[in-house]
Amino acid sequence: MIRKQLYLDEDLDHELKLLAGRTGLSEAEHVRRALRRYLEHQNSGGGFAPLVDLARNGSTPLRSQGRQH
Amino acid sequence: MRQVYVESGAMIALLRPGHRAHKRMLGHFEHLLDQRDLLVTTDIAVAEAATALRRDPGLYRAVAFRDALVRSVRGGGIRIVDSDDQLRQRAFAVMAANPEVTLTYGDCVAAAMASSKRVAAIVGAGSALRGLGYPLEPDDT
Repeated sequence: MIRKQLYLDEDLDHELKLLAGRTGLSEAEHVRRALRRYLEHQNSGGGFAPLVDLARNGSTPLRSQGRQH
Repeated sequence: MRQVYVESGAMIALLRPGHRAHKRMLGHFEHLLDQRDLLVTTDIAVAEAATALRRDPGLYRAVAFRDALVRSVRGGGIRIVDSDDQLRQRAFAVMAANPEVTLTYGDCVAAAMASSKRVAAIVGAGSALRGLGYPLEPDDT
């Protein structure tokens, strides 16, 4: 791995510490995962496309799938 | 690329086809997608939106919302911030500081989130926050 130094906003640092404490994973691991997702997002059509697709196309009521609620 | 906060009213308008702001909100989300903006919301806003969608249009829509949300989080397009004591205190501070406006707690959470310099705007369907000077999108909601 390559060593990088970076500055974080205080609120981001606070959230990161809480997340690391809650999950048991290191802060560095969360940064790596977040960066990977960010890069995937930048290289794709947009990470929240499923929400927009749902808004455009709607969805099938469960009734028509044989379920009653 | 910006990071924008999505409040529950925006999610409801987006995913409720009969909502008066549905078309405008869909157009705005398509614009955000084109810009590759990142969305951030809170578990509070998700709870409000899921509850509203469960009522109208119904369970199928609430479940579809969950699935689309899960995929969007995994895709890195939306981040859901869990409420904590710090956020609650900031939200209640917004409520207490604006006694002339009947803000919902969700409005206050959105305002608290928007006070972060990393959040460029609030995507919302209400006008209360705009009246207080918060940057609300789209312009005509």
